[in-house]
Amino acid sequence: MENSMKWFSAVPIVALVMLFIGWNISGSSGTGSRTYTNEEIGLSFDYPSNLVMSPSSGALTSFVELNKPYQKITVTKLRKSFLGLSPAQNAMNQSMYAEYISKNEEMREVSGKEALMIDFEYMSIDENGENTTMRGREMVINMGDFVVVITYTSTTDKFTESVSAFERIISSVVTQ
Amino acid sequence: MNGIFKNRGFWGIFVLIAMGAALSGVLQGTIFQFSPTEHLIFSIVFSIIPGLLWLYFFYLQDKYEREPKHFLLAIFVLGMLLCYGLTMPLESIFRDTHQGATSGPIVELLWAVLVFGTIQELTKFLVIRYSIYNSKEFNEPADGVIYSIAAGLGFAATYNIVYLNSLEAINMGVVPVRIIEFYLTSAVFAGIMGYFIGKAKFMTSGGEWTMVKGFLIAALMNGGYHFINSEVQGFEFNVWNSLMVSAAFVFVLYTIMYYLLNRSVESSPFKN
Repeated sequence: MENSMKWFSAVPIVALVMLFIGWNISGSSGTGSRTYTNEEIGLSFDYPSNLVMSPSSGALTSFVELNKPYQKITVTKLRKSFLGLSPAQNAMNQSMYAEYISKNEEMREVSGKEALMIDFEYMSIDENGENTTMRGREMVINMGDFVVVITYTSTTDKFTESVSAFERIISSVVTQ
Repeated sequence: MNGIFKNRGFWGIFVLIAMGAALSGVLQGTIFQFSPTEHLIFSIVFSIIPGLLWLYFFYLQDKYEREPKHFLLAIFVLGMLLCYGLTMPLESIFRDTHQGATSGPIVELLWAVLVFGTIQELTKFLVIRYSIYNSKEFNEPADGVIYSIAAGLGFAATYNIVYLNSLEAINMGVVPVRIIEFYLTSAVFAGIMGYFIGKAKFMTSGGEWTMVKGFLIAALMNGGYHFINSEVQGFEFNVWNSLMVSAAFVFVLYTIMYYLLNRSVESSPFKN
């Protein structure tokens, strides 16, 4: 003898109720965030727990969201140049990115430290092997003897999707 | 209790976890950087093949009436497709809408169970309930376990493709652990839910409640596992912490599943 219900199932209804409760819990309290701490450079910040850390050559760490691999946040420690924040960072970016163009720069203060924000564009190759324009925003934080660069890059059409998350990360930066 | 130690699957998992740990140790620090196309091919190959190998491993555990391989493969593929078409968009909606705020561990645990556990186990449930469940091939309670495991492995394969493809570089020390950890836990959560689905199908009354019970248990275990794993991990992915947590979970859950599967198999009309 078999269960006579062929198409009806209570499980999706129960799941919807659970998702509704989950939505409201997170709506009132927010989803988790984690804290990245690097004692070597004396810096920490909160990042959304949906980002995962992945190995990155040349950087201290990088963060990606699993289903948005075209968006990335990296943290890099660089030696401080006598040229000053803007010329040194632009020279560095020109050597790293193809057809790099600085679109906007402004001075800010991050956790009481002098910082330079740069909005930029560059060319990269997408998964189809075609050239695509990328956008980036980075915060160059003057730590005294060295600088810490937190960079967000994305394809142009998806840039605004996570720039607010990047700004929240920057506003949570704490330096020692 | 002695029964589990005579089970080849239990020792098979033990050997595979040990091999994965050894391989991770040897490959630790080996980082590959590919072109985008090579990276995608690597991600697909190193996700689908382990999934199919695990499926074959569980297929061999079915003692009496082994299910047709093409049915198991079809469920595996359905699990893959629904993971991409349902789980990922749904998870993305929740993440995008609620990212950024801080919360305590209780909210994190509730979030893990009520959102991620629910979405992931619902996907596996839908794969089984609206495909093979209504088929004549689903003819004994134990079929619920093996087909749910197939759905869970397909689900894990898609998740792994997206995960590997999202990395800028592939740390080969992480890949074997990931293959053991994610596939096994996904399969075992689904397998335990599958026991209840199989049982429910052959009940004359109370079947719906039995299925709901199975789903709730699976969602709770899934969310609980991910919460504990992320708490143990801290802020940086550590291969050994992850392996220890998932190995402990897998052995406990596999033992539970073994007993549930045995109860189903012993009531199989094909036993004799």
